[in-house]
Amino acid sequence: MSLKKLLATLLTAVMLLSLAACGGGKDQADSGAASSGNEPPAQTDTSGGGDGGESGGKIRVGFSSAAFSDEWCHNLALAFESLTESEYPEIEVVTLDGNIDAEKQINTIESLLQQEMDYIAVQPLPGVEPALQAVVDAGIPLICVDTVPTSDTLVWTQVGVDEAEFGRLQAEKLAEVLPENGTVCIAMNQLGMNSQINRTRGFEEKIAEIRPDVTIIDKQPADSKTDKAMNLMEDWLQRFGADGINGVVCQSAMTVQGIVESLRAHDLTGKIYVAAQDFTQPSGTEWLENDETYVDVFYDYFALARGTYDVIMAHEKDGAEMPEQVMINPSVWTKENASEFGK
Amino acid sequence: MKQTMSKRINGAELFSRFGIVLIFALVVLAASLASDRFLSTDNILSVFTQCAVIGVLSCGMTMLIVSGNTDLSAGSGVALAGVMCALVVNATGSWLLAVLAAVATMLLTSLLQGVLVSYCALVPFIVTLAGQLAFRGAAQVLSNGAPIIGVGPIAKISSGKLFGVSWLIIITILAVLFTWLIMNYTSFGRYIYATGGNREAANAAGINVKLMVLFAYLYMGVCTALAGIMLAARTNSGQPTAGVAFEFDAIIACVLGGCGMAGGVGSVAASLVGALTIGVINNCMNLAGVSPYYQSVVKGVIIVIAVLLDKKTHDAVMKAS
Repeated sequence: MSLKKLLATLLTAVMLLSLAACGGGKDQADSGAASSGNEPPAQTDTSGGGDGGESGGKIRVGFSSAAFSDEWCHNLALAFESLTESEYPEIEVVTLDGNIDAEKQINTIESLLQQEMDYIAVQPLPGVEPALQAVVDAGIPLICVDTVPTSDTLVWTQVGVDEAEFGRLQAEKLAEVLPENGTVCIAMNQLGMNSQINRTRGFEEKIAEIRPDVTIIDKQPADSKTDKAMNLMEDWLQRFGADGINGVVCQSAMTVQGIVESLRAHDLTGKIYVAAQDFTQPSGTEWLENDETYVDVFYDYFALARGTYDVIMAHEKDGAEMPEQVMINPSVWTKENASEFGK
Repeated sequence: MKQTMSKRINGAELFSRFGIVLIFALVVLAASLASDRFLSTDNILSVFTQCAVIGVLSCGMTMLIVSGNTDLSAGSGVALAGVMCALVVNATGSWLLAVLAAVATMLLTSLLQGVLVSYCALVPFIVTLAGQLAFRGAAQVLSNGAPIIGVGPIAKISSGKLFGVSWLIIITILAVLFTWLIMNYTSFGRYIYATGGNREAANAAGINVKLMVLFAYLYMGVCTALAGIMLAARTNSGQPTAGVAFEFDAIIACVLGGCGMAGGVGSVAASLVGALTIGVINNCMNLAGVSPYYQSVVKGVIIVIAVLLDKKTHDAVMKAS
């Protein structure tokens, strides 16, 4: 019994200490998995203060990311944070993680509402529309970055471009090298996500237009998971044989890694053309230079974050209206220009 | 009448003992009919490789379930172990330190869980559910939320082969063999069965049931660490989001293999066959080109049928005896 009481006391003390620790200090790593449904999630605050309560006259922006677990999405959130220190000192940003879960992202958006943000930027997952409506109803300008919600009634400013453009660019480059009557497999993102639907549609439409001889022999979700992408590639190789697949299209950085690792394990790198996405670094450059991928379509997260902040600054300083869209086009990287990335 | 009853008992008893093997054989037969590539050596090795991580997790999970407990934190533990492994190998260049760090981390976490369940009499479901959240969060904190790409020499576990068989498969077989030996040929193994079968009777017989449960959790920790290292090797990265729902895959493999969730019943070899059954189903659906929208539904239905069949047979055996 005494041991039980001692351990229970210890556990209580640890919990209290954890709560106290979470309440103070700046720069805490955010984790959607660590937050419950009713508590405001832990946040990353680059205001320089510890409590996040005083804005000091700064413009307060909240950003809800789709998934810190995805390298590109995480980099987007980091871009939002770092730009406030280097280029937009008038802005104070709070970034939260939606953890690829609509309910968790709704919690993050509601948390930003409670914190009375001046602007709320979201990389929306399917299903968060009610929370976005609450933002609009509260009179807070809503900015949708990278992806857009599905709604006829919501009003937002889109910073980005139609997701289908990624698929189109991948199709244009692959079309240059696929053999006649070539075959392609698509490793998609999570079913139902905007990126999965539109990037797939963009690729299919473009390849049908410019290379009607090419056949898409299978498309399956890899869910942006490296191990799932590996299993998928291995099963495709079993099903179609190495000679039966000429190209693989990937829709996220983690998927690319799985596909590349699988092809490496089977000594097939350079023999099957891989159309990559998100240009994860430094691997992305290495993969292009070693012919492990053929093309990488990159969406510059810094450009997206800058686009968001520029719209906000124009609205604040010049009283400009919030536009419907700020176009930020993706860039295409190949072996020829891979070494120029970041320069 | 007596002869018929005897035949019925034998049939049910046979299925009760070897049910999962028969189900596995049926699934393999269906898969080979669905795709002519299924039975190729490459594909069989590929399926086994894909099941390796769950196979190793099933070793620890079998021991835990037999002892009458469970662990819902296994998937998060795999992520934490993988991240720890990747961090240490990138920081030090030493694969040995990386492995030791992963094992030490999981031993610590499983010790905490084991003590809370065993000595504080907390419900395993709740303790390990809390662990699921905490370990995932810890993995996110350690990795700063981003995957750690590159695990150096650790990757050879996945890329290396012995006589054409991946080290991942060999490690899985060794883990299953080791667990099977412990469970069937040591007094510790017998005590685990006794603890799960009838805790009070085991206690009365002088078995330190609390210690047995603690050891079961520690063994689960070691298996989780090994699974995390194997996954890190396979993906050449430590990912804080890895291993989502792996604990359920391991539990399903154990249940398919005949483990009784109440405790006292189970076989690690059968659990491995359970894991392979799920792997074959996944592989078969990809080979046959089943629409991704239907794959989860199909998998769920097959698992329910298999478990129902197993339960009905087990009930028939119990009724007859």
